[in-house]
Amino acid sequence: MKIISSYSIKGGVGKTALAVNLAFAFREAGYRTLLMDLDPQGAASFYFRISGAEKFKMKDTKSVIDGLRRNIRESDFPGLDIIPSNLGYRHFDIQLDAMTKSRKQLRKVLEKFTPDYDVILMDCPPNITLLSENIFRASDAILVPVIPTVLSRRTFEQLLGFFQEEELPSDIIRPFFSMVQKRNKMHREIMVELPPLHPGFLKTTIPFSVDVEKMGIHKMPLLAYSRAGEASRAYRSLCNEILSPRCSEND
Amino acid sequence: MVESRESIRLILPGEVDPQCLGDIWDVVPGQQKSSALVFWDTFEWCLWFGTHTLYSADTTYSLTAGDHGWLDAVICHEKAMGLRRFWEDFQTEPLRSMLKETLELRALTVVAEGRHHHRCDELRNEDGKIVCRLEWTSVSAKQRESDVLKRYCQVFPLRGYEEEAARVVEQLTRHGAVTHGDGPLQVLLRHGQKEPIRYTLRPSFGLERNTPAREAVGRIVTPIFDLAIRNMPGIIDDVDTEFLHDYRICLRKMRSALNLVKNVYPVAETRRMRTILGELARQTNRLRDLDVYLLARNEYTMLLPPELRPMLKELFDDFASERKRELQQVISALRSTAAQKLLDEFAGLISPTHCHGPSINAEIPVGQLVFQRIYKRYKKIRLLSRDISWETSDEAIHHIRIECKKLRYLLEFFTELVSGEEMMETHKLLRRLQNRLGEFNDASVQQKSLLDYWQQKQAKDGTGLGLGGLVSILYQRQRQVRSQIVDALDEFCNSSTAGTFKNTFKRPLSPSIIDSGQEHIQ
Repeated sequence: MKIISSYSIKGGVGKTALAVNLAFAFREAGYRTLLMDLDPQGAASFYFRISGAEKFKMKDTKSVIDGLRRNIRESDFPGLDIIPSNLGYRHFDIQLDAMTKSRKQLRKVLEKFTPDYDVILMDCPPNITLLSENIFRASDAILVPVIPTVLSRRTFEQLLGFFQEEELPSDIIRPFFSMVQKRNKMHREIMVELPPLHPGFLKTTIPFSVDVEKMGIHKMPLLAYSRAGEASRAYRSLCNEILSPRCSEND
Repeated sequence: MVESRESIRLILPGEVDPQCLGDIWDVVPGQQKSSALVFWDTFEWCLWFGTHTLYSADTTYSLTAGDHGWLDAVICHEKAMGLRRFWEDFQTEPLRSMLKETLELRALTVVAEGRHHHRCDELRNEDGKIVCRLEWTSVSAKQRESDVLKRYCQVFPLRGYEEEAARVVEQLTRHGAVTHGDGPLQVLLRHGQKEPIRYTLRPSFGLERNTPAREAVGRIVTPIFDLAIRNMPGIIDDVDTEFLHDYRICLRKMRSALNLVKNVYPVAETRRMRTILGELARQTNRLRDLDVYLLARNEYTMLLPPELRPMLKELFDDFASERKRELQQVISALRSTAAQKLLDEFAGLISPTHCHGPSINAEIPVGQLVFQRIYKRYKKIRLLSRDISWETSDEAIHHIRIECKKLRYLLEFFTELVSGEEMMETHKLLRRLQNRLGEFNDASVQQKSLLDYWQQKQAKDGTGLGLGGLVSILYQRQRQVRSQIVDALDEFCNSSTAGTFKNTFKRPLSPSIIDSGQEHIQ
């Protein structure tokens, strides 16, 4: 089982769109996939028409496992299950803090889902907290959408700095360009400058697309209603790149 | 077809409008589909009695497990355009292996045909999320598609929405749906007035020790004669080789019953009956020989080194051509007025209404008559076994094989008259011995037959070489089996087995003692 996170310190970079469509693409590729919506905003759950998770106690690892398991919802697409968001996740940090080995609890929890799933994909909240650190330690790969803008680049570099400070393995960070507008000169320049500085950069880029924004109207992943569009092809290509043996070697 | 965990099957009382669920959920109807539905099984209903069902629809063969004829319990399937008759016609695993184990040499035939109409609907909640899937199915007869024989609804819960599925079941149950009832195959079988019947070459005869011997023989021969008749259409249609095999066994068993329990009919009548059975069997001798060879084609070929294997092609091609000709002759013979007359005459002779003349053993209790015979037969085998050694002639072994066969038939016919695990054990020992004797005889007969073919064809070059190789291997096999026969005979004739035969057949327990549950007379 592989654990993959869709993460960015900055909001509005296409993190949830990535998680939702990548989960759909994994399922299309035949992988039993579980999407965990850890962002209290619950956008990923909304895109699958799933209402918020039931509250559950998080006093120890077992209760977290039981609570998460009870909240698994089969999506409309067989092979893809969701654990919907819960406003209670905003207290995740406090709960984790109270546990021993608080930075590694999430990995322990997710390992219990190994028999049922081939891939667990986490849509993470846009901040750096104890939950984020748990996510970093639990993940086999952290996919970071980077809009080719100065601010987005800055937050990506902040993330790298955090990994260095905390002595986390930075090779699990797999950035890629998101919401790319090829006509934008600044986008083009940053896309030339940044990848050579960070060898883990994925080759696939996700274009800016109004189709992606329409996910809110359709309330389903882009890949489910627009199979042939440019953005859909890009998500599928990103999935293939992640699944390619070369990419796995880097993991 | 929708696949999901733990679906719930419901049998509907008639047409149920899916909109009966519309008050709670949005019912999103799927596309209505219809396909021809063909159920397959063997003459023996191997699949049915093995709780499997094989059906084809939309050019896919699907094998299901469990209750009879539910289309959704598919364990494996294969897409196939052409007709599939035998397990070896299937190309994919695990279907091929599973059918091999169940069908063996039997062919598949159509047991029921109909049409299958189905539609998958989705139930969505107020957020538009699918909370349950439903598959509505109806089965109708092939001839009158408009007449629906049965309607079903299968409820597929989604993980995390089990409560919704339970509510669906509850709603449909209020409309008369039930969870237990006939599956599509059962429905179509009933419509076609067909009923799977267990097939066995060892039927129960309902004998008791004091049944008069003539009546007992009649009770043995009559159902076996019926079995022989039931196998004839399969021979004529050349469905599979087992029809001829079983037909011949039936003829042989009837002859043996008449021969082994002597003087229950007037001598002339017995002779006539045996002549008829002999005549019917003779018509099929060569065809059966050829079947045996052709069934062993792969085995024989693989016995030879790879270089010699192609050299048997001509031999088997010749046998295959001869089989075609021989089959036509057998079909003509079986369809002939002469054969029909023989069968009618035999049926008349064994009919309970037939007036037979007197005969000395007719009214003797059968237990009294056959127990002596069984014990005598066993003693004879024991006596003959003393002379069996490494150097014994083939003829002597053949002789002992015939004696064993007679004993086995006697034990088989009258198995209802004895009880106890000890006899079961002797049955096993006898079967083991007979298997070895059979292998010995086959190897011997086949060598002779192959040498005859070689002489007749003046086979030279490759074919001659292939034949030579095969005859040598069969000779070696015969030699190996000979030593195994000596061991199996020792086991069957040892003092323990002899004691069982003596207790059971020389000093048999009276029926009243058996009934009261006491064991041996010391």
